[in-house]
Amino acid sequence: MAAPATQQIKIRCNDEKEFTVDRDVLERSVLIKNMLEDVTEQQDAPIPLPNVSGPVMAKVLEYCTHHRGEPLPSADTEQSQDETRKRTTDISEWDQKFITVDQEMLFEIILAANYLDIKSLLDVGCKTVANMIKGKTPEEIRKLFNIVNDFTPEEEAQIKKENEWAEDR
Amino acid sequence: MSILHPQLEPWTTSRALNPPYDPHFEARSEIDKEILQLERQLHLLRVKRNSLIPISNLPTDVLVDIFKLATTKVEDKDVSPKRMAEISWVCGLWRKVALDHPILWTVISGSLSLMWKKAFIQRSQPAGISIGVNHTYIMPELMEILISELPRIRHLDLSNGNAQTSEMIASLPAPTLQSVKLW
Repeated sequence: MAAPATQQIKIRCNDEKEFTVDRDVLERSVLIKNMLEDVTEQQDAPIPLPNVSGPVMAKVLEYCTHHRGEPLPSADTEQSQDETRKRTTDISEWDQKFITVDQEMLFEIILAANYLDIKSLLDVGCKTVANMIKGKTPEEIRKLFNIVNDFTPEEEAQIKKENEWAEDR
Repeated sequence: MSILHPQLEPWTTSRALNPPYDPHFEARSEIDKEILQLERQLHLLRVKRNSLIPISNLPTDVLVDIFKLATTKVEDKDVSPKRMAEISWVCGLWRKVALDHPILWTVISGSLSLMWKKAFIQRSQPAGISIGVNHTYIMPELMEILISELPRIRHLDLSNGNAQTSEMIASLPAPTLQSVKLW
């Protein structure tokens, strides 16, 4: 007996780029999953995703396809304060390779994961940025993200004072 | 009658009230005002420029999550106990986000200086905290802090402290205490 055909869903990005994707792949996104559950009748019109561009959606779909079938983190598994602090910044090999992109794309993926509510992808993005920050001085962090020192003279004075607290006991 | 050179004249009240005429005073004041205005403009331009870089597009809760992960101590990698402070020294936005979120200041390492411990304690209000003490002699000021903050201490590490003091602190009521390491 042939396996039941997977339902295909059409989505449209903010640059008019359209994708036709298996429902279970798209349902990695809690936002889309909820949208699909709210629709009772089969719809031919593509689901509009006004906050995501085609190239970013292509990357997001690559991630969702690789992780299809894995259990979704349930909404009520909010981590406690202590659990959150114990989270490590380890990333699996495949995810690490997947997220090796330029900075602009990295932040676009994080924004898309946040908007589409794909917790595991958001987590990979946040861990990647956290790992980039780790072990760097404020000046090195500025250089890395192209940030300039924009402190007011009052903030500069306070930071100078804080620097002097460093070694006292 | 001897006439003194003006610069050798004794300092009198009338001279103090009528300082010698300074022909450049107003011009300097104008320039100072202009410098201040330009500095303000430069500051605003720097803030605006920072708002246009990709990382600045992230929502605050995502940035907070990144900061949490970047300050989490992982077994094989040592993280400076005042890492959160260093993150708050990057730019105005990061400083604001850091200081607006008490959760980011809740891990107070025993190796932090007293000034830093006090800063972390103040910035973490009213969240639950984990605090460590690295000295065999606990300064009276630190002792007072520990006792006053006990109601929100979740994890207390007194493993490097003095046995008697440690036991005294550990015997006080601590409603949210989940773990305690004693000498």
